Amino acid sequence: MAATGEQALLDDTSVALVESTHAAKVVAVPGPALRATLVHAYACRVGPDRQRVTVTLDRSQAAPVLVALGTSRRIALVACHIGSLQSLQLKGDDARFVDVTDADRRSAAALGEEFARFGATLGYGEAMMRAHMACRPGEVMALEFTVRQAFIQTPGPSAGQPLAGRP
Amino acid sequence: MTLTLDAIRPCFEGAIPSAIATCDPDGTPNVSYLSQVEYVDAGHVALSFQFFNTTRRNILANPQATVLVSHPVTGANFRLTVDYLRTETDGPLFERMKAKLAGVASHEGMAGIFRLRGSDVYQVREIEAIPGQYLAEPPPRRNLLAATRACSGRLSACTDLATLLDETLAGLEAHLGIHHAMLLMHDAAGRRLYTVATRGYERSGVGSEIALGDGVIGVAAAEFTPIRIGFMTPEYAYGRAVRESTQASGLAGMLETEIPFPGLAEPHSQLAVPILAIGRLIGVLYVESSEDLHFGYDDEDALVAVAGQLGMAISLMQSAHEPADETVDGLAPAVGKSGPAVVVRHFVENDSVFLGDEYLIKGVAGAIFWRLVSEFVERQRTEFTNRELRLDPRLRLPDIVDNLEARLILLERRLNEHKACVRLAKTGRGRFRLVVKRPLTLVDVPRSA
Repeated sequence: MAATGEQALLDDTSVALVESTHAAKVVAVPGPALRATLVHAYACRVGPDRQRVTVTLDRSQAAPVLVALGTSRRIALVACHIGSLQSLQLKGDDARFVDVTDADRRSAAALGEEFARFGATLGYGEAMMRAHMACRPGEVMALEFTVRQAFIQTPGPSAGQPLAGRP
Repeated sequence: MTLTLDAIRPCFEGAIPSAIATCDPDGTPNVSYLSQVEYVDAGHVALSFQFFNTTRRNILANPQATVLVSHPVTGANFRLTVDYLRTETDGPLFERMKAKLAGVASHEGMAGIFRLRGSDVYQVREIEAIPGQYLAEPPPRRNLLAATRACSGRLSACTDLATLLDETLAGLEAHLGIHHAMLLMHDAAGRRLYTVATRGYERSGVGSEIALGDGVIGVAAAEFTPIRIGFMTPEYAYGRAVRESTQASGLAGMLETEIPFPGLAEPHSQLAVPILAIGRLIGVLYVESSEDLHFGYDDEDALVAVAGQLGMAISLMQSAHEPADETVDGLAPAVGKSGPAVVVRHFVENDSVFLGDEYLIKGVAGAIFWRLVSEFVERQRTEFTNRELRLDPRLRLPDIVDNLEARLILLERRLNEHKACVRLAKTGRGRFRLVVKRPLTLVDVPRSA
């Protein structure tokens, strides 16, 4: 649960980026002996409090991530809009598995389709992009974490700066 | 079956951005996208180091990471378990990555923001194929090994340099489907390369020059490494390279002696392969395409193999002894010298030669031409040998490797292109004839004070 009274770090633009179907997302967690591991994430949603983020993963793709989450709950998520390269990294320390809703399954499937269609407008092969970002329906699982830190990661002079919290 | 790095090399073309996960010593993970992952060898990759960021801090404090890469055709994803070894800030790997990054930056609208600070070399510990519903890999456009063998066969059959150069480019087109290609030879004394053969261009551009270090070709030559760019980038375009080399030579504005480089106006894919033999630079084989990401690692391998054989063949031809000096003093044969005289101007400043008002050639090839026409006018000589040119101190040919044959080919082709009244005709190994069809008036322009 989000700590009561904590300031939400995500503004409207950040929420839109994290939830965008045109943004590629990757989750990283610290694995054994501090070697981080990572996996593509699919649909993401930000809670009404703008502090809780739920990400969907493909269970078999995420196997090393699931193992790592058995020993640490720290997590990092990067979202990058593949058209503008606008990027954001979120970090938390309370990642946990949550039940997958039908909406999550639909969102995860829809993301692959939307992502592929948008990728095609940028010159990527649509079929390739669909295959690249296909989350298999029977494999969808979800993780939830509270955003403790957020950083701008868009290439340029502001890269690495913390995202200022807004009331 | 264990996956090998070379089996997934298309993942390193930069078509789909890769991601890296690192961890600080306290266990906080970090994940960021990478502009570039470069295949180094069967056990190593290099990652572009562009910014002093958390990834950088983490990897210096805890030199282990995991990298996510994707296949640009099948969409398949792979996890690479890697350990950081070192950072290279110059040399072949750095220059390869710098050039490739310039293309990626241009393609992504990040020119001026993406700047390579170093090439971080990592040892690859493990490669994991991530399960998914990926596409099947389509059959290759062609069997590159068979194509390389066919090119090799053509080269082996050549007995003179001119044929060797032309057959190389013809072979690339016939067997590898490369329609735009050129060969440049190294002028060690001038620290530049000059074009001796081209294929697929409106103008041949023979005689055009590129300074070492300029553009894709110049960097490949300077660093002894293939340079390959998959996207259009002005940073490595020839227009700029040629302009700068002209300015550097101090000749800009003095004489119009630049032969335009014949390359595509907007090359989206460029690959320059140094031609090496016995540890020395012979020249550069350059190919290009108007399509993005047209040349891959396998194409690069094929061209490196062809360039290797070409380099050895050129080297052998250069070192083959010519016939002992038999004084050839043939007088002008019955060649019709009719019509008004053509003024041949020679500028001592840079050995540039003009036929009438048209620029012909400069440098060593210009000096050779001036010597030939001087002999013709003064002594009516028409028969010459390579050997006498090689021994003539006025031509300032290097002692060890003079590339005389290449310069004669260049001169011959320039004369043919100009439909000049003076031509060179080969009369045997190491021998040629000057064929003159109009009277010549020679004007030697001394060096300006």
